Amino acid sequence: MTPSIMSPASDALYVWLVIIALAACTVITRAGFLLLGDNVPLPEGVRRALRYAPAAALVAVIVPDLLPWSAGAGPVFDWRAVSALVAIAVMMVTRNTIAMIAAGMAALWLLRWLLG
Amino acid sequence: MNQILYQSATGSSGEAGVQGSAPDAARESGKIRVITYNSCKPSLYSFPARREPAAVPPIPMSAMRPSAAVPGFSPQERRAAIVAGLKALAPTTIAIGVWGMVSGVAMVKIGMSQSLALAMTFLVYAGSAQLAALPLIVAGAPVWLVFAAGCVVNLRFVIFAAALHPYFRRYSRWRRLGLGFLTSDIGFVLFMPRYGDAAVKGTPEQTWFFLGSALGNWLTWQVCSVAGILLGAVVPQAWSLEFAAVLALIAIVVPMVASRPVLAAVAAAAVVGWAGQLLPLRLGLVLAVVAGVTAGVFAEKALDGKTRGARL
Repeated sequence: MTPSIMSPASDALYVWLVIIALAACTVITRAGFLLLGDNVPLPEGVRRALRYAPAAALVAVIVPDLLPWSAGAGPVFDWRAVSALVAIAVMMVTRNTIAMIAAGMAALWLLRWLLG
Repeated sequence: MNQILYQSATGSSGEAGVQGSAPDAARESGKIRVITYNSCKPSLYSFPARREPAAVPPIPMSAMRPSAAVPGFSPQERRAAIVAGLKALAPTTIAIGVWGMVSGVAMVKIGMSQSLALAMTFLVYAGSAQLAALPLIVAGAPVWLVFAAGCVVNLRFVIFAAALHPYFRRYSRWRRLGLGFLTSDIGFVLFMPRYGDAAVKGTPEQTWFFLGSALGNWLTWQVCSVAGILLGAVVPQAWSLEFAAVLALIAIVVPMVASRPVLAAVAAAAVVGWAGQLLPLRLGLVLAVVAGVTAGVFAEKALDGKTRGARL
């Protein structure tokens, strides 16, 4: 998630398509069952398997962001990974999202200031 | 407690909190879970049992619209239900606000224009899906992959909708669409412990309580998200505030990891997601989800066998 001037995020058409796609995600997942619930059978096995998908997807988005690979140089180390571990520890102790985000940001700033 | 939930599952309607159709054998083998709704942990919710449509209690036509004057439900009662929803929401407003602001700042910080960020917050209104999409946007991932990732991240709402369905099934399509769009993690978590065991599902009080908390949630989120979008342009790049978005995503995952199968799923997804980075189009994400689900299902089966063995 390193922003740059040439980022696809500045391509308005692409971002609009993404927004429309995500809006469709919201409607399908939140209202889909409310609209079709009486007609959609969800087998028990599928239901059980689906419980693992959200956590897996979120982790698969997070990990490359914390421990990126660059095409030529292989794995790259970033203090963000260490800061994330600090934040996770704080989260497990306090169970507080705000304390967790604050601790993670503080750890990142401190590590970069102390160690570059 | 266990017995009460079990009865409600075998009666006319099952709900989240009790797993599937509930034969005694399954309960004895510990497969029925009694769920407490103490935080936004999608992994904790079980799916509701399927019901036959005939099991719906008959409701008079006059009650079909929450705004219509329903006999026995006065405007005062409606107000009280909305206020109750807002009061239940109050302790969580700071968390919702911080979340909204973090996503607002993050959208601008990855290089989206403010108008696009505003469009995203109002049209998508799904913090975790938005935040999960941002690294994909930066990587220029194809739209279908962002769509697939958003749907997977949002899968928990399918579970929520399945649980809320008995309460909203009597409304028109458009109303159900609106109620669905406004469903949030916190709105669901506030609703189910209050009305999960209700004898009659779909009363105006329930709907207005839901709407009170849902609209309060929407307003808090959007105000803070817009503030974040405006603030994002002012905050220096050196602060790396977009990292707060990654932290916010981690904050969703940590409470999800409440059992060993989920831990196995998360570990598998992390390894495959890390190793799969060099694949084009961020396909590593797809592989990681498949690996995670597979690991979770296998771990569940393996642990089930173990606990049964221990009991015998």
